[in-house]
Amino acid sequence: MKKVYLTIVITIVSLVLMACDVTGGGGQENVLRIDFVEAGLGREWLVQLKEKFEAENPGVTVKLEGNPNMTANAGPKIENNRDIADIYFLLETNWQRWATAGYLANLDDLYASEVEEGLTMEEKMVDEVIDFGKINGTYYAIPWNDGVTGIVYNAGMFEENNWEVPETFDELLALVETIKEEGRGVKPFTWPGQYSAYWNFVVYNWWAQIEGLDGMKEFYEFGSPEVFKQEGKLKALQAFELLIGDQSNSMNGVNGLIHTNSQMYFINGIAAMIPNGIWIESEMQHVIPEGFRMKMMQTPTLEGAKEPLINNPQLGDFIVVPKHAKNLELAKDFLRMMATDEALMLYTKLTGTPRPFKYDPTQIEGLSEFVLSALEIWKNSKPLYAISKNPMYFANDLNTFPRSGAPYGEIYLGDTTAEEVWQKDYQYVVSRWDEFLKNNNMN
Amino acid sequence: MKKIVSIVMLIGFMALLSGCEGVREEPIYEDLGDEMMIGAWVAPPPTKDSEGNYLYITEEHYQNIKDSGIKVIYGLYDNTIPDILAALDMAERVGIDYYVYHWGLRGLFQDVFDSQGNPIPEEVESDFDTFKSIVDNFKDHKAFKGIKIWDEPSADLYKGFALYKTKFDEYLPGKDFYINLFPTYASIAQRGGVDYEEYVSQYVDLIGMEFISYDHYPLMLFYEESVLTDDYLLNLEIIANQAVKSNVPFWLFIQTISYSNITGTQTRRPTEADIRWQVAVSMAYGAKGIQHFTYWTPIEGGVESFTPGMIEVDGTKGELYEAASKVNHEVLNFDHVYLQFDWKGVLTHSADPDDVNVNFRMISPLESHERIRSIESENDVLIGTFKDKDDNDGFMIVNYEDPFYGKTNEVEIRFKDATHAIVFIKGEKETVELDKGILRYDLESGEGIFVIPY
Repeated sequence: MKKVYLTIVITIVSLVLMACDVTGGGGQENVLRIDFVEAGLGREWLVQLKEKFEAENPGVTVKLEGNPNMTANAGPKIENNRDIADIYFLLETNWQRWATAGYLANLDDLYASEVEEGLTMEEKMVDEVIDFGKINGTYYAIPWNDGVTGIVYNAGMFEENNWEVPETFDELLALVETIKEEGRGVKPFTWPGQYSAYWNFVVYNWWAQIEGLDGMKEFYEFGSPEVFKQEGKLKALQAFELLIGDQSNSMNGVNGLIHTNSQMYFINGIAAMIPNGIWIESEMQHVIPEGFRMKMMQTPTLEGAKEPLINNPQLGDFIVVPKHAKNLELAKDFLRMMATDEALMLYTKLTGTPRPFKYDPTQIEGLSEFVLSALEIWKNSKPLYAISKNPMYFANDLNTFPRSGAPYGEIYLGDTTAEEVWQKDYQYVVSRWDEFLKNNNMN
Repeated sequence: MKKIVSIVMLIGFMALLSGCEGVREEPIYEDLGDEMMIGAWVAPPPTKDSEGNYLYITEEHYQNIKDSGIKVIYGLYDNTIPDILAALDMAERVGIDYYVYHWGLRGLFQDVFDSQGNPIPEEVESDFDTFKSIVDNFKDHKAFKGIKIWDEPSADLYKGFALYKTKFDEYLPGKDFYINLFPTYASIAQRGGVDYEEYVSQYVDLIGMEFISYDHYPLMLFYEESVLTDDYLLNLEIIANQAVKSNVPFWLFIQTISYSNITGTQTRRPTEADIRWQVAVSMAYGAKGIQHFTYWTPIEGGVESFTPGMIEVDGTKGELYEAASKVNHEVLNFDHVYLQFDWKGVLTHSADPDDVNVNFRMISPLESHERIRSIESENDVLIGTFKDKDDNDGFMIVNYEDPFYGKTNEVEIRFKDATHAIVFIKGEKETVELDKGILRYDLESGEGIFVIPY
């Protein structure tokens, strides 16, 4: 009887105490938690990879947490070790600071491990991005998405009007005039004036065409202020000035547009071309009018180009594993699986986006006309990865346009010229060089 | 022996269930004169008409500020001496306070250290002279409450701020040295390479701040869908704990405007429920001040663009003016009671224990409370817990669902040792009789109630 009473009382006490629930987060053994940015690429790719991984690893469960704001959310979690995931898939942000502050797991053994057929992760990766995830000789991150950017055009409109896709910059200028004459009100370009850095997708390509990839590498090493006098930067800006400084080449009101507005004008045929990336199709998938067709063109070549075929993939999205992840080895296993041909092809098939590994996504069946056109550029071009390891870059002292940010809106409005931007960036860096060195303990 | 065990257990069991120690009397809260700090960013701008008269630094516009319940308005565009004096005059005329913003006061006492980090006396004196020459223009003005020194600093600047504050206090005793901190979602680089807890603790300890002010805008928008920042409560927790540790009050910004920037960040336009919710959540963490971001809509966004705030760019009252004013007055109706309580921590209650709110997962709430026997709710609930000087308990009970989705929340809390409760609902006091200690209330979307069981 004593026991019965005791049991009843203990049960009641437990129930009463449990009435206020407080459930903590954090990882569980054999439950691999993946937090990811759930935005334009959706989640189906990760759902299928989860199923593949669970099938290959009996007893393991993969838990997915997607959120469009995950890049901003991840920082407080990783830095405070609260509700932490085992793997994060995030958009471009300053993960290098997390690495140097000791928040990330060392991935050297993952890079050195075999992915398939005698190939290590490092060997499987596109050569130009091998150093992407490395800080002070140690790997802390893996590049997530590769990309293709440039000029997207209305393929149906081009064909109806017999407009040729331009291969050179001069042909592009001529095409713009033709569109204005024959386009019955169609404007050559629309673009997001509020986020005018979309023109980086074109201007960087022109710059790299002139300087070559070695010249671009030298620029992003920021070895001295003199790199800001590169001729390629000036020529690229001047090409932009010729093309877009003439306001009649853009639709009215571009300066006030955000990216989605300008994309709406493009898919509704108000303008024939738009600076954009391979993601535009998935981003606009729910609103693309029936019968609308688009393709991406190889960026037309500037006269004097050293490297005519350049793609600016806008590499920046990344994958990291927190140092305090509960399932570190499982996380590495998952990332290793993701680098296999089978997983890479599945990824590109479901997202329309390549990853920076050695494989041929143009062989995937069922890709859209647009994605295929972009992947052909990805396959045939030299990739311009604007990666800098200079502390002055991480500290935001230096970047491509350090004085005022992307200058395209001001050039479009006639408030400045390409030459002024180029000169003033150089003068700005020269006058502050010692201060930047001091700020970053580089004296 | 069996009987004795049975009786002891029965007594224990009954005591556990009832917790009864007799009926308490209703506590009385006199108005001791303490008020919530209600501030707002962006004072009326110094735009002038063709005859040189201020269009917006007028008694009418300042009366609007006062009528909205705002106690302190923060200068921004009115940053020249004539504009500052005009603004101070209007603030005094209607009876509110004013924070001065002047570019010349911003970077002082930063470049006054030698290579060993020691202050260089001549440099310090030079900056102090500059400081005095500017503040002498308005330091004795009745409406002058303090100076906005910096918004969202890197910790690298704290050393200079510490020196600045010493000189500031020496010359302007009793005035506020105002620095507002970054949120948890700012990058390490923005914070100067320190983790967030250190960023906050150094702000108080190194600079000697007498209050903590920070911003965190939780209402995000992605592809037309509302998303709350995951770390909204974590940020409050870190700040509230530091405030208790340092025995200083904390204030935070309330998102009363929508903004977007070139990185693609987009916050959504708040509603009255959103404003009420942010205020209630802040009070659940013991906030002693709320600050609206913004009052006047910023004229130029630079890299940011804004939708209309409480007052539109052309001076007309927007719908958010009415919304924010209403919430401010609800707070001011019972702040004399709320401010007599000390914050003790928060409880969380998840309606679905298998799907715990990510905001709750990131914090360390109390595991239980001696006065609460059970909590049931239709949706998630956040409960701030408090004690007054007479040991009475207070609870700020908040419907913790994103107000964007308009969800109400039927909450049932069973208190121990209580037959009645004082309940402040939208600032209005009600006295409720509790049946077996149970308080039932259907919280509106965004609503929080302050409950004192007795």
